Amino acid sequence: MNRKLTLWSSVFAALCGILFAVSMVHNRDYFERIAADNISSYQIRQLLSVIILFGIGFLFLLCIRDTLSPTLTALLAFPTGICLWVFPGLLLLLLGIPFTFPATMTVIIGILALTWWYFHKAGKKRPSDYQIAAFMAQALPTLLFFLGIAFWVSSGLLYVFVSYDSYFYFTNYGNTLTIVKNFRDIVGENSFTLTNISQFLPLLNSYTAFWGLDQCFQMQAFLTVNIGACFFYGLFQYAMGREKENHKKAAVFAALMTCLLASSTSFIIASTWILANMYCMAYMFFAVLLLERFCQLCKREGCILSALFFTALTMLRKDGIIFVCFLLVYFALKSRWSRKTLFFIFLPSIISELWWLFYVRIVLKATVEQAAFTSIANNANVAFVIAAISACCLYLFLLHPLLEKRLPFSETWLLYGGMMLLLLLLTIRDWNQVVDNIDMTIRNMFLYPASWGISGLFFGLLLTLTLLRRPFWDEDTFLWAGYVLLNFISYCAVGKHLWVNWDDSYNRIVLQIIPLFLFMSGKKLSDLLRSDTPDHSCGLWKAGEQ
Amino acid sequence: MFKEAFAGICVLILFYFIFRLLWKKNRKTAKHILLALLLISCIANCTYNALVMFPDFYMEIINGRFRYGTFSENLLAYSDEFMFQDEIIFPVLRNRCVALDDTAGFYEKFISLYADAYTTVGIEEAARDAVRSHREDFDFSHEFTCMGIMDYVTDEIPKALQPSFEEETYPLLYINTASLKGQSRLIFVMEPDFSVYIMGETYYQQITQSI
Repeated sequence: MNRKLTLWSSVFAALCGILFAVSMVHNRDYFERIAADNISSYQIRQLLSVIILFGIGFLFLLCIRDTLSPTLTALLAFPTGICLWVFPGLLLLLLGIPFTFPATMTVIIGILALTWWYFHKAGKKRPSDYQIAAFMAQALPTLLFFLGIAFWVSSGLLYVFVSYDSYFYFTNYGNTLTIVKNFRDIVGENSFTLTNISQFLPLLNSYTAFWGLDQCFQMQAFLTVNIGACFFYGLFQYAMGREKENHKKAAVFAALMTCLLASSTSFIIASTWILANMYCMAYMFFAVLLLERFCQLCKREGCILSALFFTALTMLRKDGIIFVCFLLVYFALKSRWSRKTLFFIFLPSIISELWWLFYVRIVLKATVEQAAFTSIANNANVAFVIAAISACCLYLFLLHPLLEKRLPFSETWLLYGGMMLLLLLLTIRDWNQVVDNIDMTIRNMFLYPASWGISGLFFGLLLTLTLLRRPFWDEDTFLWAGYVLLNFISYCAVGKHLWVNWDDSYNRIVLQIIPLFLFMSGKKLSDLLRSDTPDHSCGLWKAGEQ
Repeated sequence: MFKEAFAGICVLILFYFIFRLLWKKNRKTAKHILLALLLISCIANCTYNALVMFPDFYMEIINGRFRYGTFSENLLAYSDEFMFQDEIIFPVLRNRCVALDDTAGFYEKFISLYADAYTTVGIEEAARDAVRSHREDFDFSHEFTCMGIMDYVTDEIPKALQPSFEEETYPLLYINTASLKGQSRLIFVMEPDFSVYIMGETYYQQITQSI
């Protein structure tokens, strides 16, 4: 056990605990003036709601873990806990079983029990008491750190950015689901919440509403810190490499990069705006972090968690399936995971997407008067989703294995080429629209409410530095560059004749990739700082064929 | 904007070539510059946020900061849209019993969903006048947007309201926030134009005592 780290974490948790207690005094006057509630009870409920969600995720990870480190187990507990609340909740609603807190918790406990039973039975060796104690001792500093964060986010002293959608489509709708307990009572002549938004975030809001809370801002704040902590941990591990004696330098470098991420206006905007974009950003980041950890050899926890996070992404936004398809291609390019494994990871996303479309269109027959063309359940969108899923399966089982063997250059070239060709076709179709979109993209970056501030300039400088050692076409760069390009193409493709469920808020979608952009840049800068020789090993030609 | 973006890209390309030259000539210095650049970026970002972003992201209503749930009294809170301020209605209704004006049938489903319990009561015209005459006591007033946007909170929109709802103009919501403290029962009075007054029962009894 790292005693020093544990001590510092304890001090941090204690200070946050004091802040939590003081905030009750501070909040009492205004809160009790309006609400028929007690501030101590309210804030303690906030705290418990965070801790219980974290605990659910932690227990699940303890059940499935094989090689996951204690620190990483603690770091991934909260996002896993969120998934474990949302998926059973949605399952109850889809099956027509009343959506109540006890019912959902019963399903969660059932899932935990089944997972424990399955993996306990499958495990050849049971961990001894000593091993369990050692594991918990190693995880303790991270657990104490998160306890401190839970205290802080429950104090109400947060920075948040709210807009119309934050309340009407997520907070209020989530709250209403806990009252009506089913989707049928939501269906009306203009079922916008069923046809034009995805259900993940409302269901998370339902969780806090069940606790008698007004919103779930504290969950978002906790998840933001979680991203920062994972970012630091991932980069620290990478910068340290195999030379453990380098840990101080690695820690300083990772801390600098984490500070850069946390202080960037663009990241602050994306992470504090109460919308699904922040959760997309988080789950994309966690999925790629898992890939970094399990890239060479897919262990069961890597596989299960990737599947969970992919499904979360699918259900977070209307265009979630596009992000998932893109990530699947990236996983296929980067990892040595088998096609079967990758398909297993993709399968829950396919099921959840198609089930939801079937439910909205066939079972509920939900319609919408306004914005019918952006509805999830319109013909163009259903056709597009099926085409995207089919194309991904085709790529995974046929194209990728073929290209991997036969192509004399990196596959990313082909993907970039394909996307550029598509953009060219769109430009020929409507030159004005593409120019307008570029103009809008640039303007959005510099204008409120989603301005990048001066962080865009520093990202540009960082990008030029990463090009010193490695070329532009490696997989790490493809992750963010391909994502930005693909989404821009999708933005341009939307028009009178083809309106699928892509969102037109392109800037917010680009903001989602910032932690990954900085993470990949950080990896390259770390290589740059460690190395004295230029390395183009993952360049145009594959190793051994140069 | 195109010009600025183009100039920005040119600066980045120039920076790349200068740094590349430095990297080849003196790698140690280049590494130090790189770390310094990271540090400067962090400081510059923090300075920018403190001076430009955070001061702009501040909203004031109801006698100061927007005080509602845990969103209220946030150190900093921002929105460019002010449509959602009637969100205050949710913590106001929670855990309380509402005495609903018997002419306010349009709001019945909404109240039944979000209040702890409700009963309908007859409001005399004189009492309605008394409420109206104390309008200045109702420190919160805002369009009741929830009613128009969340279609599942109403059974049917009255014909009189349909044209204004289509133009996104909603009835007004007045709340006397000073009368709510310690009150488990609220009075909900509706005007003929569908605007509503919400107040604590004790306050209502005070202003209607003389009737």
